[in-house]
Amino acid sequence: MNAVWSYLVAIAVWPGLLFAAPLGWLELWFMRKLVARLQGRQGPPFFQPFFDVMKLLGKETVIPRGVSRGIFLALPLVSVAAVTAALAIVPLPGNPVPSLPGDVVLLLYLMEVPVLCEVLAGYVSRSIYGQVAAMREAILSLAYNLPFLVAIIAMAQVAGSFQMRALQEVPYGLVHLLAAVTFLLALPARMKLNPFSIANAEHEIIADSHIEYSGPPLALFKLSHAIEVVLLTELFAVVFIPATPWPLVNLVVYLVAGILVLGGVTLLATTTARLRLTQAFRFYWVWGGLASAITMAATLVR
Amino acid sequence: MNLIERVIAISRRRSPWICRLNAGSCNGCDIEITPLLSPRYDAEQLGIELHGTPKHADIVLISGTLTLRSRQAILDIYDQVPNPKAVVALGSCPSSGNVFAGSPLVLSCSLDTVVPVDVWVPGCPPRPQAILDGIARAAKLLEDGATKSQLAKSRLAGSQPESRCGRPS
Amino acid sequence: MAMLKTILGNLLRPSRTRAPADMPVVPPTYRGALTHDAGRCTACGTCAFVCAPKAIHFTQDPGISVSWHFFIGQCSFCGLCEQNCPTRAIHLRADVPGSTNSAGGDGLRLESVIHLQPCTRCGAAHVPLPAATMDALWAAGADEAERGYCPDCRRWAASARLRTAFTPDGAVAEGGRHDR
Repeated sequence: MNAVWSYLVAIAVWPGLLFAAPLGWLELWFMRKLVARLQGRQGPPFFQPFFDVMKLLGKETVIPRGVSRGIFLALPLVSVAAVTAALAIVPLPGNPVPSLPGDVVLLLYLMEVPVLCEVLAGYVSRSIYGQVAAMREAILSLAYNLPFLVAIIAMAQVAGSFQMRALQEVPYGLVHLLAAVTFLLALPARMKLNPFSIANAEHEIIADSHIEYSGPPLALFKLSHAIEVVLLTELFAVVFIPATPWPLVNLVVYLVAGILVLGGVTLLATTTARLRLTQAFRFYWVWGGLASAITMAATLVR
Repeated sequence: MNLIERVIAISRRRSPWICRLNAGSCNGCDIEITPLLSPRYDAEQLGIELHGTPKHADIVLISGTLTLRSRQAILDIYDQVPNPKAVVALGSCPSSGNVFAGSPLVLSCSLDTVVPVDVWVPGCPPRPQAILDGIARAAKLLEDGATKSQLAKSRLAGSQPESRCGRPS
Repeated sequence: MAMLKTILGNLLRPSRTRAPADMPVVPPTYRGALTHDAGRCTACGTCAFVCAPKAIHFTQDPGISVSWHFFIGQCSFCGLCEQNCPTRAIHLRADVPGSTNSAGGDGLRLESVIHLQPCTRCGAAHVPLPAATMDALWAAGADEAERGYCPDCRRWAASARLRTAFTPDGAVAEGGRHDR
C-alpha cells in the first residue's frame, strides 16, 4: 500500500504533474523570453504558457472527418502520462519512488512514447501537412536517438548497472564529460529547437504534427512538451552533474543547471537557421556517431 | 468552477492566437501584419502568436476583397476555427470591396454577409498599431463572451449570416 | 559569430519594443482619418468625382440641405479628394483611424450636412460660399449686400455692375429677375 502511495505521489505531485507543469511553464517562458530578448523584443508576459494552456482547455475540440475518435483523443493523454511517469522515475532529491533495477531502460522507453505519439498524431490526422511532419519526426528520431541513447547507455556501462541511483553514484570522470557532450548534441533535436526544428517547421509545413488538434487535446500536447522540457533538462542535471551530500543543495543545483542548459540551447536556436532533413540526419550520424563512438571507447578504456 | 471559468476567460484575452486569411488581398494588409512580429511592435508582449492553421487560432484576420472563389474558402476556414472565435476584418476591402468593387469576379459587399465580423480595422492598409489595437479589442470581446459567434451560440439562435451576397444561393 | 555578437548585443541593450499605449507617432503627412468642414464645402462634387473607390457621395434634400457622405470602409486613403478640393473643406488628419465594432455604424460612415441658405435677393435656396472666399471676394466691403446672394444673383449683380459702367446714367431696371 505504501509503495502504491509513493508511486502516486511521485506521478501526481513530486516530481510529477503538480511540480513539473509549473516548472515546465516557467522554462518555456524563460525560453520564449530569452529568444525575444536576443531578438531585441520585449517577449511574452510571465504567465504566458499558463494562459496558453488554460485558453486551449476552454476551447472547442474539432475532430476532422474520417479520423478515429478514440486514437485522436487518446494520443495526447498517453503522451502526458508517459512523460509524467518518466519524470517520476528520475531520482530528483525527495523523489518517493525507490530506484528499481533496470529503471533506466524503462525511462528510455517512456521517453520515446511522446515521440511515437507525435508521429501517430500526424498520421492519424489525415492532414497532408501532419503526415509530412510525422514522417520528419520519425526520421529525425532515428537520427538523434543515436547520441542520446549512447550517452545514457555509456553511463550505465560505467556504472555497471541499469539503475538510476547507480548512474548518479558513478565517480566523476572523463566519461561524464564525453557523455554530457553527446547528450547535448541530441538535446536540440529532442526539444524540437531551431537547427533541428524540422518536424515543427511552421514556415514550411504550417505547424507540427498536431496541426489538426485543437482545444483540450492540443493543451495536453503543449503540457506534454512542457513536461518533456523539464524531463530532459533534469535528466541531464541528474546524470551528468556531480551530486552533493545535501539534497536541498542538489535540488537547487539541478534546477539552475537545467535553466543554464536551456539557455545554451536557446542561444543555439536563436543563432541558427533550420537545417534540411538530410543535413540533420547526416549531422547526427556523422558527428553524433563520432561522439558516440568516442564516448563508448572511453567507457571501455577506463 | 466559477474561478476556472474566470481564469479561462482571462486566458482568452491574454493569449489570442491569430490566423491570417487572405481573401484576395493586394498583400498590403498582409505585409502590415509582419511588423507586428518585429521588435518594434512585438505582438508577443500581448500574448499574440501567429499560427498557420485555423485549428489553433482564436482570431481570424481576414484581409482583402471577397472574390467569387474565396467566398467558400472563407466559410470553410471559419468553420474550422474552434469556438470561441473572433473575426477581425483588415482594411477597407472586406467591408466594401474598395477600388475593386464592381469588378466581375468581386463580391462588392461586406464581409458581414459571409461570416460574422467582430472588429473592423479601417485603413488601406491599416497601420500595424491599428491592427494591434483591433486584435486587442477582439481579444477583449472574447474575454467578455461578446463576439458575435459567442452571442449567437448563447442565444442558441441560428443567426449564421445567410450568404446572400453575390449569387443566389 | 557576427550573429552571436548581434544577438548578445540585443540582450544587453533594452528592447526596442513599444508598449501598446506608446506606439510610434505617425508622420505629419500621413493620410489618416478624413474630416469634412461643412462650412467650407460648396458641394461642387469634385471629391465624389475624383474618388476612385466611390467612397464619397452627395445626397440632396431639395431646398433644405445637401449632405456629404463618406464611408471609410471604402476609402483607400489616396488623398485625391483633399488634393482636389477647391475650398480645402476635406482634410486627411495625421492620425490612425481606430477600429470599430460595426462597419455600418459609428465612425465608419461620416455624414456632414451643408444647410442651404435663402438668397437675400431672390429667396432661392443655395449653398453659401465659404466665409474665407467671401472675405477674399468682398474684402474692400464693396457691396456687402451681395454676400447673401445665390450664384445666379451674384452673376446678375456682376453684370449689372458691368452695365452701369457702360451706361453711367444707371438705366438698369432695378428688380429685374433672372430666370430660374
